[in-house]
Amino acid sequence: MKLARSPGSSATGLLSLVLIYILLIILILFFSSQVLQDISKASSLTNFIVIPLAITLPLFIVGTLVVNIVRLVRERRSGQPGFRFKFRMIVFFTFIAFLSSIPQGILSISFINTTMGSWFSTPTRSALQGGLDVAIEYVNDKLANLASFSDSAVFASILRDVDSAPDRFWTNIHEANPSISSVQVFRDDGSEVLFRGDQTARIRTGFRLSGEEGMLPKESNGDVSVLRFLKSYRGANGHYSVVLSSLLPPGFDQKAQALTASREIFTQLDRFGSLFRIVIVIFFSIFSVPMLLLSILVSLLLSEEIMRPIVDLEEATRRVTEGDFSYRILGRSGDELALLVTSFNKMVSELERSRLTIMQTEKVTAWQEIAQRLAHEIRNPLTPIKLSAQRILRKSQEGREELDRVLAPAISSIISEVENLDKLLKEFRDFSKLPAPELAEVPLRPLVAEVAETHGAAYRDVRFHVEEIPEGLVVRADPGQLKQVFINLLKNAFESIEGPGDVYVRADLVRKGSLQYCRIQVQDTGRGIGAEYHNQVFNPYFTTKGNGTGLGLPIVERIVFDHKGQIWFETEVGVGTTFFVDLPTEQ
Amino acid sequence: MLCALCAGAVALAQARAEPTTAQSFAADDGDLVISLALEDPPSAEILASLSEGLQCEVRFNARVYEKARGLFSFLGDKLIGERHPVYNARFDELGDDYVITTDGRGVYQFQTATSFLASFFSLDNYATGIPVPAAGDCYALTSIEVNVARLVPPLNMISLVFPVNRSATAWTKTPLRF
Repeated sequence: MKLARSPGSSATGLLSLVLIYILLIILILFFSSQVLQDISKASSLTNFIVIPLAITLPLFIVGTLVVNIVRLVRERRSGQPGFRFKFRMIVFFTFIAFLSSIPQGILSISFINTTMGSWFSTPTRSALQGGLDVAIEYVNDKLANLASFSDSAVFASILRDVDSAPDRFWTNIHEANPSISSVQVFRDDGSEVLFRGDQTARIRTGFRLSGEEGMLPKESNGDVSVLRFLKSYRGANGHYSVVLSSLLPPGFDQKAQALTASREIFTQLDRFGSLFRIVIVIFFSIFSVPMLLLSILVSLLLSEEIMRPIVDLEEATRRVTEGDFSYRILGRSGDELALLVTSFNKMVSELERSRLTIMQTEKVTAWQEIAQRLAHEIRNPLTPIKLSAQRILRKSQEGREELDRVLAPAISSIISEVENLDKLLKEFRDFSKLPAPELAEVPLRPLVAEVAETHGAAYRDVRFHVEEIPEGLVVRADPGQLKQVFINLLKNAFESIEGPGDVYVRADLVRKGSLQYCRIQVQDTGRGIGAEYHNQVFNPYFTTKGNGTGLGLPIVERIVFDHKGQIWFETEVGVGTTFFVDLPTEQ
Repeated sequence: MLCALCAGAVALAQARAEPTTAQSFAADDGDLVISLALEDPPSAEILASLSEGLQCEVRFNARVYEKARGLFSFLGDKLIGERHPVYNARFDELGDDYVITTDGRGVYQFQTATSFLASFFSLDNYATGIPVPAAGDCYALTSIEVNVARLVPPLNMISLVFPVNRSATAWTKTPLRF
């Protein structure tokens, strides 16, 4: 008994897909947490792992998918069962995957567009720009105030006190312009003469004066920024550089920088917004397409899993149809189709038992029939033998002369009948004791030509044709038995033709189910077989010929069956008969 | 995905053909000191970008190799060290000056565009701290990348696919002999 179960690869495949799915999820998480935040923070080590993974994973999925699709196409071409179901399953899964991913994609892209649209909204941009403009205007006002005060006549009069009354000098400045935070006076060599006011605005050592009047660069000191104006003055005791300072409010610079940074982001969004949308769609595709492909792969594996017991059943049914009743399917426990498999196995067992019973009955019946026919055939020559013997005995009593006259013909008759008996028994022995075929590669065309030449020589009016046997066609069979098949079939064909006629032998390769056969046709243009004899053609000792034994076709049938082949015929009275023999090319 | 990456690579390769570098190398106590400058820099684009309120970036790349000899030379030359000092520039509208921030946290202000550009595209006497063996057969590979508009997160992911703002000089190989 043969037990069959298809190799199980689906579980491993599904496990691999789950692993790939987890890797994809990790990639997505990494992408969203690292790349979206700040790509520069992604370390080279993570890039070393993540980037190859991001490239190889989709490639691996695509490769696996292509392999599976190619396999599916091959299954379709070879006519393997289950293709249509698998195809439908894949289409269905793909459709479902699309159904779920398309709204997600549309929603995501629409969300991105809407969000980015709101980022670009004019109020935010103008508010940021307005805030920055206000800050700049404030600074410019301060600078203008410093500049105008430094150039004013009031300040020029106050300057006279710079070396005579420093304290009054500062008091006058502060009273004239309260926004001035400090005043600092240097000599030409950079040494400080006096400082009054807020210490935060004081110029520390190492500061080099350029000597030119005007605004000095803004300086930041902690969270405070200082605006300065340099004024030259020639006093009674020499030349001075007077620096007037004005402090910006604490944190002013930081707030202005925050405004600048926000404006930078909006400017970039404005400039690269459309490109950013494309990149978002690309990255969305990078992760969603593998997911989609993954779902198609899952559908392939699931369809395989679902189809396997059905394919097993189909295979088993076909094998049973071809006569292999020993074939059984191994059902899996917990499988929904296990009951069906069990029933099928039980049915095949019952069929096998019934078939064996029928075969046994048929065998007994056949042997009974053969015994009756054999008895009949043996009895037929016994009568002339007996009559000849009785005649010899009777004539011997009548005298020598009478005996001599009948002795020779009577003995000849006895010998002839004994020879017939011998021939009959020899053929019976051949039929009943056919050895098991010893298979070998037999070139078909030379074999047929040889048989036709040997046995067709006596039929000069019959034309013999072997042109339709392909050159080099080889059959795997027992050479002696195959030769016997052609001898019997060709003899029948030659003998069925009265007068001129044709005998054709053709051969071709055909496929039945999963097996390949060599189909041999022996066609004659003889008298054909009457419909009343169709059921008896392969019966032993059935013959329509006067000198036939009726064992030729039964021997052919037996040999063909022993080669696991099939034989049948088509005939039409007055037109001819064609015998078909199918021999498997692989045993 | 591959198409996008390839498009990016092609764009980067096309950009590489444009600017060139001027360079000089010196040894200070056995350590390499390099000076790099970009010839024919994209000054107009940089100033336009700064005036828009965007930040610009220049990245100086220097790698020092020791030539491999013997049986395993096919494995490639030995990397002794590499440095990638980065300059970030912005325009401070409050102070009306150009500000360069180095990755060493140094901040430099420039009143005029000319002085800013002269400093921004050149790396002067940068002490790499990379020891150069006196007896070895060493060489340096240098390149300068200019990022006209430094992208802010999450826009920086654009640079993965479309490196639109970047241009880089080809790697220049210079033997080091002191």
